[in-house]
Amino acid sequence: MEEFETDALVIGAGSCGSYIGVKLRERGIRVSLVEMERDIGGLVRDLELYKIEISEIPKPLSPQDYIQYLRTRIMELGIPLHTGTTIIDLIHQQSLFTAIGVSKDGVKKFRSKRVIIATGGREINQFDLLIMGTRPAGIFTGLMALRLINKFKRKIGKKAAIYTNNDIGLEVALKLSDAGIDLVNIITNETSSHLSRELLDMIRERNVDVIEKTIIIEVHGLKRLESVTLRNIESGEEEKINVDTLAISMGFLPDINLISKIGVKIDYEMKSPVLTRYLESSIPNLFIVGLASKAYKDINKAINDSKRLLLSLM
Amino acid sequence: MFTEELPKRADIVIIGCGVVGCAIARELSKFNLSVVAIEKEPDVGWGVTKGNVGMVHPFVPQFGKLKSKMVIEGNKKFDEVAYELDIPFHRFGLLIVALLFLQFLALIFAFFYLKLRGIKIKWLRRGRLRELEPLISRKAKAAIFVPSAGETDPVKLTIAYAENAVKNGVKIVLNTRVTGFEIENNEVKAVITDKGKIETRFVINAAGLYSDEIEKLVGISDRKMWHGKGVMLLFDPFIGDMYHHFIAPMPIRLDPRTKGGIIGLTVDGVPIWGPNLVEAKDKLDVGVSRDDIEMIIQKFKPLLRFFPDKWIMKYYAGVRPIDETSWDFVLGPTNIRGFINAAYILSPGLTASQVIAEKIVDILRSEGLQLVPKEDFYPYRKDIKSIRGLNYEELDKLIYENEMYGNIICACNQVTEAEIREAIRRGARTIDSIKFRTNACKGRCQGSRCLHKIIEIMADELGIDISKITVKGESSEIFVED
Repeated sequence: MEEFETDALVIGAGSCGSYIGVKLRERGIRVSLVEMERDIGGLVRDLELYKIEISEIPKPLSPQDYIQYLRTRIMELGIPLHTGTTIIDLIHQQSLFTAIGVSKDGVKKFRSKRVIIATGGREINQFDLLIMGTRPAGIFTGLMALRLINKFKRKIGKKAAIYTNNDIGLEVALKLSDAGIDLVNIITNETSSHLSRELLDMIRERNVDVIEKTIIIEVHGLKRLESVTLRNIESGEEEKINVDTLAISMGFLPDINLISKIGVKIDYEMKSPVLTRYLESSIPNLFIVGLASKAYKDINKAINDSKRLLLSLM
Repeated sequence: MFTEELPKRADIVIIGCGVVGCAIARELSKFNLSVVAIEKEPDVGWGVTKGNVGMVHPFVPQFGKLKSKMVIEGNKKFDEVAYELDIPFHRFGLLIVALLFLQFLALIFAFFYLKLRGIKIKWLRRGRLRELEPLISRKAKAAIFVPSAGETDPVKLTIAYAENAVKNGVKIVLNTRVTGFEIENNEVKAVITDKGKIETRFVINAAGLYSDEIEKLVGISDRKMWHGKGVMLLFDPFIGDMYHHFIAPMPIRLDPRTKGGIIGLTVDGVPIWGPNLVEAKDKLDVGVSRDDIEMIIQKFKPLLRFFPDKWIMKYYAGVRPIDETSWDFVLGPTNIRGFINAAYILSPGLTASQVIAEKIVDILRSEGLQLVPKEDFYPYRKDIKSIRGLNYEELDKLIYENEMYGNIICACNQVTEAEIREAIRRGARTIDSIKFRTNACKGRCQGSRCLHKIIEIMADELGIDISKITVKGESSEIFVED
């Protein structure tokens, strides 16, 4: 069992955790990064059109450029980075944290005075949205749909609808269409004024209708999805559309796997940890940042919000 | 583990590999017989079994029925079954709670009634009840505590029965549908399937929801099946410590078709509420509606002072096969010689599965089947080794021996690559099969972070193209071809 010691342990090297790790190191704090995947980048690693906008970086970056920037900074600053390592336990004893990581090299023990949890969020799914009906194949969360296409270079269906309230969903829609899947509709519970005009234009060029102020209430099909029932929020009118694929991109909920284990106070209404203005949790010196800190629709906002942590640690 | 090749003949053919069919298969594997079990789905336990809440019942209220007798015996036997087959099983205990005055009166009556029946129970006054369940409603007047109520994993139990049966020589044939029988002089001669014919003298109808159709194929049509749909609600495991027992409201009127559902916990500590009972449109009606969810929440939420019912993690429905006239199990020989029913098994068939299996062996014996005990029968089976519950030294050693134990695939439930590969070696051929065996994709993200990894491991382990990978068998492929 290998043991490591640091002043601040950042769990999760996604778009937020890596950024915070870099910023802390720049401020002279000894930092270690732990990431469960083989590479850094987290949820944004499958996105291309999405733009990362952080106030101090002068121009918006593509996710790939942003990840490359973080990778370079981690190297330059010599931040220890443990990829392929999943933290399964976090123990708080006498103002010292011990995090237990599992990797192919065995169990790793990390000791640190401060812990920053940046384990990200999980995409809101069919059950979070209380979409009724059956549970067939063909219903994906948006980023999973994107990952399957990117990774396996295959079609995940013939006819797809996208249920979204954000630009990530629009990108998923475009990628599905690029992959040769017949895009039937974009369904949004809001108005399209919240969505990127540029992406919307690209979608309309492909003759795809954006159905506004409409929710999905039911899915049908036993083995594979056959159709979905929509309901207009204002008129209550219902409509059934035939699709074999539904990608749901309705934002994120915090990943509370780790934080629920160590007894961090969680707000039952918000499904998120209770945090101070500086993102400190109910356990002193345990911070939670990014998508892990509260429900977000947008990743940029999560990254920018997490900068508040730096104010307290300076 | 499983096969798709149908043998030419067998001493006994079991139709249906749910918990009942697999329990019978294992029980028969204790004797020198050739036993073949046929299942239409790509895995065992995918019918009525899958839609079960997993409770090991202490009793059912309708005493005098076959199911009531068998459930009490089955409950007693469960520790041994769980030990031999290495399946999760916890006796959480059941609290039957009275909130209203009328329920209180019914509870007093029930207490003496159950005592008379010899059920081990305890009367809990309000104070003691609150000590046991601090979040119980303030209106709770009293409760009956039934310590023997337990929880298991219905599909894991079925898999365990199946694995042990196969180890002892049973052939389990999947993806095979029975289409008819060969009957001569009112006697079974062969079972006809879409994969060919199998000669046999004895057929056990353990086809669950389809036991009526199997009966019809053999020419029996004196029963009518009522399809009762039950919806189960699962909540986020984070709120799994809000209560620690099964809790049920004291029913004022007994419905012979149902025990009324419970507030429970799965063996993994996930709060599970349900089931309700509504008439299903047909056998395939497994859709969940808003009404179902509201019905369950409205029924059970008053039992607790506080419960964050927004934290719904999943919901699903199962359809139960109910014999409309008896509301009971249908066990025994029929007027077709050799055709034996283990049919219309509704809840508590899970609890009673072992007892049903033993009963079927008795029936076969009295039907003239020679039963010679197998000397080398091996009763034990080990579950897939998981990293949960290991201390760090043990875990470190395990990873040193097999580095795939260091690769966590499902972050929600901490399932490693080693477990997923082992599940595939044990016969898992679909995403759902892996889910039922390992708990991967069963957590709060419902697979939205690990599906791609599982697909990759499956393709690699089985040496197949990803286009062949399905969620739940044929026509549920994840990828489509041009």
